[in-house]
Amino acid sequence: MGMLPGLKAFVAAVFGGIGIIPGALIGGITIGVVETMVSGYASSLYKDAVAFAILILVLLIKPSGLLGKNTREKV
Amino acid sequence: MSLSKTTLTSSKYYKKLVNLLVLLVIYGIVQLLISIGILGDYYQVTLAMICINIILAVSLNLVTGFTGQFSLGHAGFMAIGAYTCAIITKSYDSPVAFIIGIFAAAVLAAIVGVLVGIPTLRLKGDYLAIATLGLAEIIRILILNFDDFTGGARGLGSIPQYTNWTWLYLFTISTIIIIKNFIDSSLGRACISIREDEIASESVGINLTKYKVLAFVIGAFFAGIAGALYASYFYYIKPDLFNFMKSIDILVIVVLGGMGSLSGSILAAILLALISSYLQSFAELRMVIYAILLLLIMIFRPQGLMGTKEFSLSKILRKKQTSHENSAS
Repeated sequence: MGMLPGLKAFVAAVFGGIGIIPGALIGGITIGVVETMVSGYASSLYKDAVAFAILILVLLIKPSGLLGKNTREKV
Repeated sequence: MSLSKTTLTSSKYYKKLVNLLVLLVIYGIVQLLISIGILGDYYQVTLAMICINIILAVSLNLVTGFTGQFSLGHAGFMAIGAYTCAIITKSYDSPVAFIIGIFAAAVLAAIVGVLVGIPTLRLKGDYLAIATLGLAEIIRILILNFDDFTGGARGLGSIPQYTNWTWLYLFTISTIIIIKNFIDSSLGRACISIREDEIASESVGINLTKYKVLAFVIGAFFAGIAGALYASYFYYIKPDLFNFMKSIDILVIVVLGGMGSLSGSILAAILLALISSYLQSFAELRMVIYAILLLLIMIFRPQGLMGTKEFSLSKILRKKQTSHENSAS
């Protein structure tokens, strides 16, 4: 119970960039709209899969998130 | 010089022979107990769960414990294996189809492991955990939606049962031996060095992506086998069996046994199965007691039951021998 919304909140945070509050806002809105669009135009069964697909795409293309900045790793 | 060499090699063979003998004796005793009827159906189910959990935990330990990649997607690979084997044995009901089904399950899970591993293993820590969790959920939701093959939410029933104690034992032992040998090989040492320090191991020329994906794929392969055995033992599978909590269950076994100890995973799998079957009589309180026990174990043994140590029969024998010699002299 409540596991899925928690994970989706994490997805939204990663989408905007961890540690950036405007990013979390953008991420939350995007995830919500995309989920609703998918349930409306495709199938509501794929609703949960889409959130994770977005997460994986974001992590692959821009791992620091939409508004995140790249930090250099020091050795 | 040559004499010491021959005694060395003969003691090596002797050790292997002793290990083989112990394995055969364990197999024989349990088989005997089953055929006499002392071990009833209930104990056999517990035994099957122990074997399947050992395969899952040992293969996840390779990914999480030895290579240091925190994966929460093991149930997804198990689901692929279970459904592959179930569909194959349902279409062609014969023992040969069961064996083909197991290998098809393992290979398919490994292929998905490659496809999943190459993009996601670039990530680190929490991100990797969430990404693998997401992929396992995607696999589950896809299975849920392909009604034609998988039966959707109703699940897949009346799968012919071929898994028995012999198959379970065979696959459990071969999984442990293969993964143990992999860890002791140069490839396995490369994986361990990745766990210790990624940057340092990259700077001495270890291809990070290659070894991470290799460990991940081997893990997925054996998870597929475990899924196939599961499907063929319990007649019935449904997508809900392979949800997020299943991945957590496997991870609990690995962490409890000790990340980086195969014998720890085996011990923890047996212990947890025994605890949860013993607590059946407590009904509602069962999960509470289970959780408290886990908490207590983790508070008093934060490194897991075995830490990174391995249980070795020959080592114990040798210790006894030396103590005997000491006391004799």
